[in-house]
Amino acid sequence: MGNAQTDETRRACEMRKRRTTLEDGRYLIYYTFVEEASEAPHARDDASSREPEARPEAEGEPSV
Amino acid sequence: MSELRWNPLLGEWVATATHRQDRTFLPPADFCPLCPTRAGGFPTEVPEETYDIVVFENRFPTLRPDPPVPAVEGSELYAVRPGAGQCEVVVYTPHHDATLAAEPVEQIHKLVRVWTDRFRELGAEKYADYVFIFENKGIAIGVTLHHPHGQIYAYPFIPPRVARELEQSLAHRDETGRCLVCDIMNEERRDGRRIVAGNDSFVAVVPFFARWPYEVHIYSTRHLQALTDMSDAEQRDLASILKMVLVAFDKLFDLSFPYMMVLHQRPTDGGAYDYYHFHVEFYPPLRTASKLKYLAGSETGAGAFINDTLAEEKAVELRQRIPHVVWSGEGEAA
Repeated sequence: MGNAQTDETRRACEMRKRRTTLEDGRYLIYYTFVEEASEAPHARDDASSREPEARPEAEGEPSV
Repeated sequence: MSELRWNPLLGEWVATATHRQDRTFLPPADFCPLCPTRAGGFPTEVPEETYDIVVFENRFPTLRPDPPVPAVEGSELYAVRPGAGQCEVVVYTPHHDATLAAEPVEQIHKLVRVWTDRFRELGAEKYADYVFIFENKGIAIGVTLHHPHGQIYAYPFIPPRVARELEQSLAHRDETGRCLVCDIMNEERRDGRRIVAGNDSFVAVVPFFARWPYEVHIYSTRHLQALTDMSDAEQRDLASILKMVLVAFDKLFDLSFPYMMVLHQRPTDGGAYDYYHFHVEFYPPLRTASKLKYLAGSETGAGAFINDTLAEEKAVELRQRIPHVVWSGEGEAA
């Protein structure tokens, strides 16, 4: 029943979020995941450091 | 109209949301509101042509950050309050015909990270006493949209079932000095017969006290209260064990297995809940390939569940169908 998933060599994807507003005023958030060059995801185990701040659409971040 | 009405008989809030009667009901695939909006095609809820995972405010919310004034006046006996909160839809994938079980484990890991972000963000809102992450899957559960998705409710109160778990957990801690779920997990490990799957960070069981034939609980092996307490390795392990359980469900009767999946985490009302323990619960309604477990008189009217099966036998059925989970870039997993 193993399947332990603790391989230190696995690469993390950086999570990016882009918040937009729909025509009726509701928010919609696109989450995209970008492969990182980092080799040790466990170096960033602190939850507060894992997710970058939302990036405004005005920055021109590519869409999903 | 939407509001919260107090039920003094049970001591709990009931949400009324009459506008939800008009929500989209099982549209044809060409008009799925959760698919990406294709060039020249039907404009869906998601304006772009593709996405990875997307979250948006429910068009037909039960709760909202700026709720309307209640349509009825309360009284001393019948308290009424605005339905303040939030209701989000989480779309797991742009692929209409997919299921969470069929998604790669990497996609489930992404979903775990999105859940974590939503728990953190919604939990920080003043109106949010409890952030409830869940999925209703399958017509048997009453879904109105087939596209793979879940939901998140930010309640302005601690919902009754969680409140009862908190009470039990606190009483057990006061009585024994130990965590109730840690003790349940240790008991299941000691016995072994009801264990379905496990890895370094989680164990999945059909609990001794299962109310549904294929009810499965996933407990974190470390005593923690929320997704935000987990390391990246633990979040990967959560994705992995979710994949194992979901695939085993689908293999049971060779069909896309309906279920309710709920995450039980600590409240976000600012209180201290170190005695509580994160876990995931699945409530599948099927008892055979073609027979449903109905919530009838005893279950609904008395709150007393009758399980027609033995947890020990159902755990074997699931355990025999647990797959090896393989992450991309790896060979066959252990």
